[in-house]
Amino acid sequence: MLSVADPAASEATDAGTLAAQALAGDRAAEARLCLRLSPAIRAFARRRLRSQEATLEFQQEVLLIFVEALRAGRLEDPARVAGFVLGICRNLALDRARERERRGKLWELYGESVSACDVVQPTEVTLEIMRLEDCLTELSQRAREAVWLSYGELLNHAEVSSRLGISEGNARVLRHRALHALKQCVAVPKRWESLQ
Amino acid sequence: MSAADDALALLDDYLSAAMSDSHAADFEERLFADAADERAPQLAYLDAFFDQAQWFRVRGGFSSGATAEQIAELRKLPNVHYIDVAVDTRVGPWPADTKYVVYRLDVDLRGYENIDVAILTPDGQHRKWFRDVVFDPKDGALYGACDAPLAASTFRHEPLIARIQASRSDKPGAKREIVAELSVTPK
Repeated sequence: MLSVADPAASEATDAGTLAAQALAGDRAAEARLCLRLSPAIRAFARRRLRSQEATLEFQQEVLLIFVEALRAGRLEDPARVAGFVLGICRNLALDRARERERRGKLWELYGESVSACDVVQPTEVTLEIMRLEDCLTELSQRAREAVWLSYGELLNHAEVSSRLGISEGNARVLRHRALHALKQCVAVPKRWESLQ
Repeated sequence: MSAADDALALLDDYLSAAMSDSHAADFEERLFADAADERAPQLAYLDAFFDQAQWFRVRGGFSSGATAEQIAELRKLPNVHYIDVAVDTRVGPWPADTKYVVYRLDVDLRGYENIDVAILTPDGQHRKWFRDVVFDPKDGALYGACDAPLAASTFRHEPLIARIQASRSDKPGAKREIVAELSVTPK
């Protein structure tokens, strides 16, 4: 969940065009690129890191470097902006310690622009959470556990299968089926929504 | 499986590290390119799912059902309303600032397994399933918690019956039987 709505989300602008606009100083285009790429950056981090906090910290660091590079004109080919950001992720993953000190300085310069892309944990229950709550009850306990261990406890694939006491292949199929069932289920309005 | 299902499964494999690093390198190239061009609906779904899952930490995860101890802890939080459901229970309105509703279904399920709860109207219309529910091992009762708006659909809008079905754990292969039916009527 993002803290700000993408103001021009309905305009289908390709990333290369947005990047060219951002390079020309268009701050709105820069913000849209950050918003679009943030979920991919978080996915990159989630594969490698063990906590939500570490994931969000990684995302912020990547975006700080990205915004700095954009404003310094270091993105040479706007059409390859996605690969450029992936490169930042990979470099950062290789050597985070070296960059930690630098981050403080970057935050002073660009922190305000980047914080708009942060994930905000809801303080009130949302419709999406209630639908998920509703849909979870229809799954078997084993399926719920498989998904919880992966997405709630943030365990990796091998750890999930070990905790469930089943093969990695079975754990994988169980999780895929559960995620698919949940995705289908939460997309459908529930009866209680009309009773509010 | 549809292409969308495949994409969801692939992304799950990537996130959970079921995908090898060599495959992940290629996958990341596509993932970032699709995200930049807003062509990654599965990514948006699972990204949001991670955050939604954190909401369930306070209740101990995705399990259906709780123990008396867990419910006692939840009852210490502000804006929590408790309902004791017996054979024929009338439920009045709860305070407007209620966030969670926690409840106890007065049954004894010790000696049973594979417990499902069907929520039905008095004339038999199916409303909802709670599958594989866990009970408190000490008193055998069913405890649960849910967000207030969801609870309202069960407790406050129409008379409903909770039909609890389970199989005897001491008889392997035993068929599920109806263990109890508890009714709830809004007052």
